[in-house]
Amino acid sequence: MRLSSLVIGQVSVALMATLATAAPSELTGQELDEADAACLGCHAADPDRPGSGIDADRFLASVHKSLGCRMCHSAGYDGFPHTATEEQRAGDCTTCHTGSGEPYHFALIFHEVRASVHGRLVSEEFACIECHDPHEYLPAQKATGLLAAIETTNRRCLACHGLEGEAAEGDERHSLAHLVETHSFLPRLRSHARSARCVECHTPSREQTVHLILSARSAVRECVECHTADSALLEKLYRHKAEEDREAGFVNSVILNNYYMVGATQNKMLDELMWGLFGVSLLGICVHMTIRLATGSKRS
Amino acid sequence: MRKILLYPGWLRSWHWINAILFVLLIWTGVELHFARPGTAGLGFQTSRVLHNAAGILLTFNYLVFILGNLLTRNGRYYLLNIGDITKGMMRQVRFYAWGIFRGEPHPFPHTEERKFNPLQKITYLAVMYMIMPLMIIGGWLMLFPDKIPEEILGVSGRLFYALTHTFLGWLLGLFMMVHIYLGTTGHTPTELYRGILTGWVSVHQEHSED
Repeated sequence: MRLSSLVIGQVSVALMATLATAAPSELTGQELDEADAACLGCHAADPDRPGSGIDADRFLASVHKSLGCRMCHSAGYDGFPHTATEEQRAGDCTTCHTGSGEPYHFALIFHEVRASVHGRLVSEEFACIECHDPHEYLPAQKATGLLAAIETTNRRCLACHGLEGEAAEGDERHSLAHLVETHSFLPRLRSHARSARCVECHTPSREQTVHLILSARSAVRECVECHTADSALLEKLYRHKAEEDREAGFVNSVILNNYYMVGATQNKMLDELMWGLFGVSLLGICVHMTIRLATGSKRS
Repeated sequence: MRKILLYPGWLRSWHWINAILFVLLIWTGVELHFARPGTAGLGFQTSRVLHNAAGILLTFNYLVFILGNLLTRNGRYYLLNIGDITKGMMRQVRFYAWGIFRGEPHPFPHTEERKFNPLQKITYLAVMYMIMPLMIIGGWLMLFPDKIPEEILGVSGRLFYALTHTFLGWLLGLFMMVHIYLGTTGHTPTELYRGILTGWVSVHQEHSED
């Protein structure tokens, strides 16, 4: 797959900002390869300009940290100014991500993306990198905390669907205001956005796919799809968690992840104990009432 | 037979509003906790709204109870006589387990100065002054989850409060079930219910012990 125009834009912006942008002080040799630190000396994001360049912290947290910059940006980047041609500017995702098994079943992913609302609306140029920024990619199963993975994933959606200010002018449907309005049925929208990925509801429920993005009209709106012991999240966000966690209910996963969700988080031991206590009490009441009735009728 | 007004109007109103809210909160709480797609009932969204609204109303009603007990003489019925409490509870337990079947008189009948038997008193104290405040505080925190500390006792703050809220909810449900049944253990099955509806209860002086 081809390099996205987004990254080209980011690289260009970073080049223009070369003189103004210094490498973050925390980027030591222990954290970053010397060569990568040199690259980020020019290409690191400018804190005053969100979206510019590469966010060094996110890159360090990403799955691609160990590869370093030059794995993908190789030919044409030996000197400065760089001589890389359009075709050389970055490698193809499939150069490394080969094979057809999970998670790189590209034929299926390609089919799902084309069938999704994105596939119908975007151009042929639409590529993996549009949604999976290799500079900060952190899949849920690799993230140390789920919240970090959720934030990383949702930020990519918001890059197009959460436009603000001048960017939103003339494109109301992709504005943050429109996004907030269409999600107003969700209580505590901010908490929902922090605790679940957009794709949990915007892909078919109870299927593992996260690439078959549904139209807003077809998205899941029933709270109880997720807020239940057999939560739809178990098929997506939590599908990488241990099988025994699912069998024992959400509580083990939630303790591990410092997480709680109404309806989904159930402590089976507590519930079974209390149902038992209720049953025993009800039985006791029935027995007590029967004896009262029997002894009362005898006395009368 | 002499009758006394044990349940003044404000207390009866408080009690029945509390009862309605308890039923609503338990019902919606069960729907939220055991939510399943496609099951009959109010549904998750409606249950959420009703549970929140009933919880807020319960808080105000609880304040009525506290203020009523502070400002009227009703609070004195909750004062414990520490020296006699264990013995008194045992007598009441013995009555429920044995004496009631033999038609024995109630060991602690109603008087102007005594509305509750020792077992009732200790239970109401635990429910109204321990469980209810914890339940209400936890409920309000769950209304504003961002205010809950990230971690309490090594687990997620939200999980801590949610599990506590659920556990206390179970206990209050259990209390309500037993409370409704014990309401039938007056001199007649409906005597105590008539008392909390009209405010007046009969004084069975021939059985009074102290």
